[in-house]
Amino acid sequence: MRARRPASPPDPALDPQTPFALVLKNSRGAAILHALNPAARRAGLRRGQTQADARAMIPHLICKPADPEADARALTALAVWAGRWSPSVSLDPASDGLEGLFLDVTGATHLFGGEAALLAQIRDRLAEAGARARVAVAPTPGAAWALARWGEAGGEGVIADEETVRDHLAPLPVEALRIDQRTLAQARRFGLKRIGDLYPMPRAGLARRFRDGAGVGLVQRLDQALGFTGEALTPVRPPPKYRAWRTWMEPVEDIEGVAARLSELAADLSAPLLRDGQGAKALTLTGFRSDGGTSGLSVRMGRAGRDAGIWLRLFREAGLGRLELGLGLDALMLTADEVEPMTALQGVLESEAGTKQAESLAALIDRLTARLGEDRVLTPEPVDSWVPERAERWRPALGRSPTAANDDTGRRPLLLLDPPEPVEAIAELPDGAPARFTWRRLSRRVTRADGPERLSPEWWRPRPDDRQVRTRDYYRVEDDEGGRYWLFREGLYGREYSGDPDERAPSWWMHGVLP
Amino acid sequence: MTNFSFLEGASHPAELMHQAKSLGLAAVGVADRNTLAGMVRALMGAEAVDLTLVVGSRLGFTDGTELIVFPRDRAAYGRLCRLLSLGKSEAFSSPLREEETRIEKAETRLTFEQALALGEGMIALVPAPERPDAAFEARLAAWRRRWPDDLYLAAAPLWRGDDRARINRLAAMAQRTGAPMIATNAVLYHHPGRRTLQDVLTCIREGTTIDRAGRRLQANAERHLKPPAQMARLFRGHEAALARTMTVARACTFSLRELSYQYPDEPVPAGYSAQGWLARLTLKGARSRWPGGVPKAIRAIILKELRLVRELRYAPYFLTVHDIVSWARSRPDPILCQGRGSAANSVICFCLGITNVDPTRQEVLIERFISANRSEPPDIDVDFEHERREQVMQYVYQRYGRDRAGIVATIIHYRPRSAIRDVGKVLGLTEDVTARMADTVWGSGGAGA
Repeated sequence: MRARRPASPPDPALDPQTPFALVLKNSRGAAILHALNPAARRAGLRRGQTQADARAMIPHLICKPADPEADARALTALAVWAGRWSPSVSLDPASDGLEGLFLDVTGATHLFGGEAALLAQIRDRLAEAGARARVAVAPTPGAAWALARWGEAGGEGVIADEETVRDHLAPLPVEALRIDQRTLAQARRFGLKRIGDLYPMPRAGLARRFRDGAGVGLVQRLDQALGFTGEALTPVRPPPKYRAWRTWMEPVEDIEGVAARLSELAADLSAPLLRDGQGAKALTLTGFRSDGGTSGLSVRMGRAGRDAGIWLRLFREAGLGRLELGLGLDALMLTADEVEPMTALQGVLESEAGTKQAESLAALIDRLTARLGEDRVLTPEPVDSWVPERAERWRPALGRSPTAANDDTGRRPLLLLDPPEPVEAIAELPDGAPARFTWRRLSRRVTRADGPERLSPEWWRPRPDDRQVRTRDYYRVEDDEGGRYWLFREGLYGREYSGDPDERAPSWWMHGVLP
Repeated sequence: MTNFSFLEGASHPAELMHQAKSLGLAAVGVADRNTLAGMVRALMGAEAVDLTLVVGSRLGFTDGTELIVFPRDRAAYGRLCRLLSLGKSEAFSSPLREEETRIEKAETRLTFEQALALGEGMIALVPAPERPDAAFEARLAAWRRRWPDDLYLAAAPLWRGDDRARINRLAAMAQRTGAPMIATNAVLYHHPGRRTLQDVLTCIREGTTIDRAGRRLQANAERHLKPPAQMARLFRGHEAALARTMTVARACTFSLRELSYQYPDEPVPAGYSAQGWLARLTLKGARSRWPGGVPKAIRAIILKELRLVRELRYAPYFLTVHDIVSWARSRPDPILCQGRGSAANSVICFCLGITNVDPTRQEVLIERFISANRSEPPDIDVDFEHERREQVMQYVYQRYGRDRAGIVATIIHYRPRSAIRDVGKVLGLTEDVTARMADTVWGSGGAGA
């Protein structure tokens, strides 16, 4: 069953008694009336009239340029907002300035207290949001489209089901079937004015004669409206696999209220996940404001889970205050955007303590990531390279388990200075360890030294500038105060430096402090 | 190691010899992995620069341990050859694991026990591992006790930052186990500039690109030949270890020059020597070739050739070839065969029926075939009927035994085109780029490009 409402654009802040129109330039450059307010319509103006004509009729008509793109965006926002009633909301673009939305409410109308109540709610909420709408419920999109626009029961909205849809459609004009002008004119020439006139006609004949540019014939539209052929609609947002939502009479106006209702929603959502053996890896909380806007907040987890308490904590970390409440939310929806199969218990093979630790580390990473952002919580990852500063890189921690480092002898410092700091050193040529060195303006005497550890440059890497990258000799030294350092000399005496004044002499650097 | 340790060593034996000479070394020991294939070139390189070559091989056992051996004399060299042949034929005959059916070409399967059995007269060096621990010391001690000759612990500087401490530790270990420490350098190339090629070879061997090789590559460029002064500095405090290298070099007096051809003893009837039997067969053959009487000039040539053969002691060789050819011709369905090449210059060969060039109709010059001046032994090429050559090979195997007969193989080496392709792959170039580059190279290889 589908409900549908066309909406005229929200009224401007001008006096509703004044005729007002939006104009759009057509292909020939003439300004055409695109949309009218009720006052303008009452004055006799119509869409499609040129502005000049309209002005001639109503000199005090106020005109503003139309902005179809903004209209489309507003409609999309409204469609997202309508997600409170249906997981599948589609735009209806094929309209002449009267936009609409399709909401698929199949099987869910009872949740709103029945179709009539649902229609009433939609109309009322939209009105509060500033959009006037006509609504209808029908078994097919085509029928709903027709009934919303042309159906009677002006204030209430037509409700049609499979049995009654034919009768409901019969009195409607033929253009309610969404056909183009040419086909419409043709139908009129044949004297077919109402949809009911089509029923007794032979199908084959109709199909042959009435076919528009896209080949979508009159018959096809009729079949779609009556439910004999299907019609695919593309929802604005893909429907989430799992969703839980609630509405309230009193709008929620503060964060604590949101948090309280969130815990209810979390409980609602985790039940079907448990039933299906799934766990959620990404959640989105969407708040529906009474003024027609929506505000959302998302969290991601490294491991799939269904613990409502953890979800609540993550949302709190992410900051419920980031939700824009406006004048209040009257509905909240929690959706699981990514799910994974998840067994009930894990960690049977490892020890209890080890598993608990691993899990709590993962939970900590989740919370930090939720609070700070995925690219701010990082873990080092070893890289296969001899060069110390390249032996590691930082990656987002979410979903990664810690891995062992390359160097297992503890010969390298835990923290490297980036960039290495210059040092002045005195050492025996050509490759003796330094006997004395000055770092950060403090001169130190070396009592013990080990080395050199020789690392040749990675010759296949492109060099950032034209400077020659040279071999490094690393030394572990201990000074007379017990401090231990990791120094290197860059450039080999003899092979890479021959004493030529044009060459750079080898220089010394501090790369890290050893424990 | 030379580049005969395939995809491991990056320098030709001649390059190593040249560099060694310019660094002032007196002798070079070459030990390639499980092979002696590079020895001839090493010898030629060494002789060209007046350097002593110490012949050896680096044995790799199936349990992952290694032993470098240097034979002292000719007899030990023979045993080493036998050991390597055993190792390579083992690979064919006895799969290591039951489910194994694929054998790697040029794979060698040896155990320490097998080496022990043939190890008499070979000086052994045990390479020290990166982290010498108690297990290694136990193995070293055991090997030292059991090895029938001198056994040393070979220490090489690793440039990992702890060389001094490590060498000290090895010296102490040597003291305890009775395996004296000897200084080596674990050479992979002759000059530090060759390191880039060695890295590329490692990538080819591991099947990776240079970006992804990571720490499979050497950390530095130190595995090159070093001058004595630098070695002295690296082994400061352990001068004895350096001195022992000369001890080993002097103890190994074997030179490849001692090798000479040893022809199989052809069984000849009682009362005849090989030479005598050859002479008889030749004359008999001559009479059947010229039933009307052997021309005088031909007789003179035959006698000249026989004299040459006796002087150079080649008679058994001719008899061997004659034996195979006559066997082939004596089959119920005779196998077609014919000698060709320089052997056609020999009237003896014509008389024996090995070749078919009639000396009365064609000028022959025995000097093209064998001469006292040329130091190479003769080479008689005989072509056999293609489809039946397998039968001839089987006959040879049967006659001489499977472990005394073999097919000569040549080692393929990189030509410019294949080199460009493989190096390009390592550097991450796509196939169409390397193919385009390879196509710019003329010819199929050799010294050019």
